[in-house]
Amino acid sequence: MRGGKAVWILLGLALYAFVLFKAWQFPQTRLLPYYAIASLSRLIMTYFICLAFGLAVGIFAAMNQRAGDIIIPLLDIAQSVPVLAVFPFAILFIVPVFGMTTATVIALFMSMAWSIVFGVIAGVKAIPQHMHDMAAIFGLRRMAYIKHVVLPSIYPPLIAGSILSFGSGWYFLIASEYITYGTTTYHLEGLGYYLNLASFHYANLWMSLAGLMTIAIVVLSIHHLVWKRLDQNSKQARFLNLHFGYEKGFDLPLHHLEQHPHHRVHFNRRHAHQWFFNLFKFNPTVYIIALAIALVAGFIITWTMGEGVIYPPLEVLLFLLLSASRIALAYIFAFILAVLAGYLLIRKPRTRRYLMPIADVMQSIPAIAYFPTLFLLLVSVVPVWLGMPVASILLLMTGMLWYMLFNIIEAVEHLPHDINEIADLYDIEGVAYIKNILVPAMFPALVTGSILAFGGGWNAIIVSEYVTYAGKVYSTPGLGSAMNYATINVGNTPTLLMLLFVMTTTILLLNHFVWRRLLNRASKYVLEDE
Amino acid sequence: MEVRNVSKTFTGDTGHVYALRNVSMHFDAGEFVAIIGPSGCGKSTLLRMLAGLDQPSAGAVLFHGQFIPEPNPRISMVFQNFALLPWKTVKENVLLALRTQEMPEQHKEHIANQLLTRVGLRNFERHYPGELSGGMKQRVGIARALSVNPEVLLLDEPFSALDEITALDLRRQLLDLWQEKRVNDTYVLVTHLVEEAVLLADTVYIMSPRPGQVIAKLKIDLPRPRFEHHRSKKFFQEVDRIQSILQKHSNITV
Repeated sequence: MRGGKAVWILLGLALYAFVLFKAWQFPQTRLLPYYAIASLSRLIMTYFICLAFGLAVGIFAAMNQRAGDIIIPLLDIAQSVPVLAVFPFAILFIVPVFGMTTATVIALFMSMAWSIVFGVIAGVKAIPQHMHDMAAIFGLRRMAYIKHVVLPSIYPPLIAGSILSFGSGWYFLIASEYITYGTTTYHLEGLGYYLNLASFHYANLWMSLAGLMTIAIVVLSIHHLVWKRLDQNSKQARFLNLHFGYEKGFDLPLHHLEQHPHHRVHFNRRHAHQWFFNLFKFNPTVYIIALAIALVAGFIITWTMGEGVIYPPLEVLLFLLLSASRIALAYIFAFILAVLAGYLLIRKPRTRRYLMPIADVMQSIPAIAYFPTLFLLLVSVVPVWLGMPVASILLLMTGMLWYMLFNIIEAVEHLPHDINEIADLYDIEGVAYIKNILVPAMFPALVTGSILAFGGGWNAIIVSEYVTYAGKVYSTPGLGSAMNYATINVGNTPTLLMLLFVMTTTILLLNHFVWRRLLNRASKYVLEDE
Repeated sequence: MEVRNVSKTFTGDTGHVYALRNVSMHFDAGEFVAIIGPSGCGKSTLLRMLAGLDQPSAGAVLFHGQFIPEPNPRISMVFQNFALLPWKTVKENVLLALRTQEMPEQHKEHIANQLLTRVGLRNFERHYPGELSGGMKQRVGIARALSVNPEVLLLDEPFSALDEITALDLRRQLLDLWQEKRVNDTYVLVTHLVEEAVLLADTVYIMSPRPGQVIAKLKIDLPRPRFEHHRSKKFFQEVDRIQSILQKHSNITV
């Protein structure tokens, strides 16, 4: 196994050297190490800001009931706003005053902060009652309580949230280093800039590949050298190991299955999903007030800016339906693939050897980064009118797949042994196993994975419907392409605001009416512990 | 310590629900008291009020004639689920309880060492709770609770998470500790095990299920140490007496 790994790594590096050689003619390729360091330092800086924010706000919101009732819904609204759509506003309002770096950090913050802060909140709220009582009895108050009880308690969800945060950070970093608004392009030198240059400016496949492989190498190295170790450290019996839907997704390593075959001491695990559900059960008042304020503000901005919205309401509705059905279609594919992969991983352990390394490398590259490359490859095979929608759905699907898959894997890992023993005993295999055991047992994980997947989907729709490749624009109608058109071609802020508002409202309504209900139902499916 | 006409209500979906109604108790200094009742009789809620972790809806809980608005350093507690911090070693867990006590660090060390020796865990002081058995964890819990030198020790079903063999062993140790310490240390044990109550307590309060009320107060006059006699006829007469009282009131819930 070890030797096999080394062979793979060597093969990968040889391929990388070849790609670099091919892309060497472009002067920017020689700057790749500098770009990698520049991007990484931006990411690390933002991460520490998010960490400070997450700890301060998360602990406060979780420990103070009243503050939490207001802060948690606001955080939920904030995280529902598609980050990619916020970038033009960052450009518009922040760049002129504070410069491009600040704008990028703020945009990145908008994508990285949530999984950390929700991890912290879930962690604090999951501290068992008897620990509170113990602390009170022995006089641990305020800072002593935070230091001795709270901080160690939230360590595992904090690490898991950080891994997720870093994953989405990479995703948006690619987008944030190269932003077009109207006729102007803003950029910051980094890997995202290099990739955009490769596809938009030079339209060179080797350069794109060089960028993608560099990202994959940096992401994988950081993951294996830093996050994986911290993650394993946090899984020791010395910490409260809770399982939250929130921590899983984009960047969680697949190695858990290999390395934690045994049942760990999972403190109070039964209630873990419950905490995720509780996070979503707040008073709707704050939502209604926030929506009302957004509505009024949206109208005021639209009116005072005077430029007028370029799309009539019916067209916007059509865009919304088109985008939503694209996301739904991608979701169905992702769902089926994830369930199948989950099945193979549990019931046919041999497939792990092939599936895991592939998934590990694939999920390390942000979908947004390979989209232009994927598009280029597709249109070289099929006509553009077919290639564009297919590429769009493929991009959405690959983004969603990881959320689903990693949630499933985490849940599978904690499937009580007796359930699989029942399956073996009564010879339940294949479709019957998927239908009667896998899906019901995975139901809570599937729902949390789906929520994350849809959240990612709404973001990806913005880039998946509109591609500029070699100076030419390819698009397919939908909310995302409309946003891009409003931003890139005409620089129309009211339209952008209106589209952003429509999208955010849709996300919030879906969360409220679809996902929250499913979560409530899922809470009844949570498997009891031994 | 005194519980005077205490009631506790919770607001549920169907309005107010009484967890405890008009409960009165009196604990003498140095007494070993057991509060026994089926699940849902509010005995743990009562213990939380004695600890100052919760407040009665009506009536008063008094300690030396004073209310207990917050946990009092003279009142300590042993928890059903041990409540040890898993990221701290055995010794650190004990020292954490002594954190707020005003005394030199060496003195705290000394106390911790002494108590850990007493419960037979001196060689495990650098272990983490995750590396210990349930019985060992609860011995840490007991050492920690006693380290603050409390006047009142509250025990919330302390042995119910352990197997019976370990539990028996720990009961014996607990009795030894109670007897060798100062005469006026009060222990209050909450349990649902009749034999445990008879084995340990001087006084047994029997509570009825929802709403929790005191249905009997019994003195156990068996001679101490009781371990030698705990299979005797007299012992089982006491057990039967409590059992029959509990049974008489159990049909309320059905």
